Amino acid sequence: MKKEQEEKRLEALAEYNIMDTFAESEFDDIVTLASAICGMPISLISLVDSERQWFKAKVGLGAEQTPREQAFCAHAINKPDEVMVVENPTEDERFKDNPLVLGDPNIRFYAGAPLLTPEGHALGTLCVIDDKPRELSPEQLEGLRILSKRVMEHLENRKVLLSQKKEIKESAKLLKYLTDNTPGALFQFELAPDETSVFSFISKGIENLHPELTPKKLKENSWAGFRIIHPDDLERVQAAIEVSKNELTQLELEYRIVLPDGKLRWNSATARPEKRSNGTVVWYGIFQDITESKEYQKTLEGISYSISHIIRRPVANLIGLSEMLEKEKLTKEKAREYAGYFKNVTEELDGFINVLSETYNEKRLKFRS
Amino acid sequence: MSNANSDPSRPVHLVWLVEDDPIYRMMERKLVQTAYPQSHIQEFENGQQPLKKLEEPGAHEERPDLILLDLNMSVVSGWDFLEKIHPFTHSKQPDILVVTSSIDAFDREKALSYPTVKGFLSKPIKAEDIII
Repeated sequence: MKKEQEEKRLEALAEYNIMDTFAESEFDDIVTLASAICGMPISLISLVDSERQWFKAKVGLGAEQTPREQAFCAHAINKPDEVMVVENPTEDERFKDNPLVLGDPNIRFYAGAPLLTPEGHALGTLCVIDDKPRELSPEQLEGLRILSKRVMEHLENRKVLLSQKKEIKESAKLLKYLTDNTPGALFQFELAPDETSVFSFISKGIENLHPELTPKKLKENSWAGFRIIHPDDLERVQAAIEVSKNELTQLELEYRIVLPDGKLRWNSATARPEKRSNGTVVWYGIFQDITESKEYQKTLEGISYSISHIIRRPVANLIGLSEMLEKEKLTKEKAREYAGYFKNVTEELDGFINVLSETYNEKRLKFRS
Repeated sequence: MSNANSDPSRPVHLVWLVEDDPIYRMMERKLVQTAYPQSHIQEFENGQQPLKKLEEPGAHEERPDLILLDLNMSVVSGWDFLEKIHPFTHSKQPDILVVTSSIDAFDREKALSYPTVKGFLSKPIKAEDIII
């Protein structure tokens, strides 16, 4: 076998994660069956790696593995498409000096059907062995071939299952990482028709929203989650949950919570409801701290108010003065009088703009920090 | 400014300007002089002064026909003035024009809900705006 081809075969074998694993009943049953069909004392599922052949399943033999040099199967995999039959090993150049022929188990007959991957690599064989000279009928050989395919099917299923398990494990790990590290807290909240409620899931982030809340505490007593809400907001929150429950519309709430030191924070809850057949409504959603964005919004509203109410006043004065000036017959005294008005108004305007920009800068520094 | 609720033949003898900004007050004065050349003008710097004036003995004879009222004043605001002038206006109802720098639709709706308020004018205003 070419070196390159052998390397690919070894890679393929490794992908099945089968070497040195525990016995599995599916494989044990097949060697039992092969032994019975062929009427031979020994049957093996032998997998050949670079150094040895290792038996995933065996009947009639004590050894777990043998060196590759002694392996009949190592020869069988050189011709992946046919069942190798050795009827008289003592006279076969390849095997006559083989310790397995010279001593225990004293092989006098060998038949091995290659275990072929879909890509055509032979991982090893399903073989039957006798210590007496024997032969196999075409039906027995066909039986051996069919069973070798069954071995391969099990190996394939096992491989798919393993990779799925690995994927599930990795997804679970990723999901846990995400839920633990998401800013805010992910939750699943259930409300039964009898009004009993439970947080069936709540992520660790809840501890950052309120120091006295833990996932464990909330799961034991969902009311703990409502007790932190500011009393003035509680009724509104409960009414919104009621609407979301009845109309199955997305829950979108902003409310204040009270921290142990009495300070207030703005939180939001966004969640999608789903009704189960037993009438229980389940919300999947997230709690978030929105205090900063609330303050920012308030500042913007303040600035917008200042512009429309405070700044607009001197601007209106300037427009009014300009219009009057157009109609006025200007004497030197009149011009001086108007210049005075303009000066006052523009100074007032300048003052407002300074105050506004100071206020804004103060807030901006705060939001950046 | 024409208004279906006001009597077009009603003469305007006395006009009150209630406005805390001296420059705008000056401009309003000029506008009133243009719109009502025969009228007499009294000026107030906040909402409190005209309310006091109404409490004085003989105030009944000196009722204004028209009030130009600013909303945002520090001492007694235009809103407070509108609330408090109610009991004084039993017989001779003055027409009130709110003159404000506010362009808020909510302010406008609220001001016009008072029966004595005949108009909501956003600054700057013109002489023709204050003809009732």
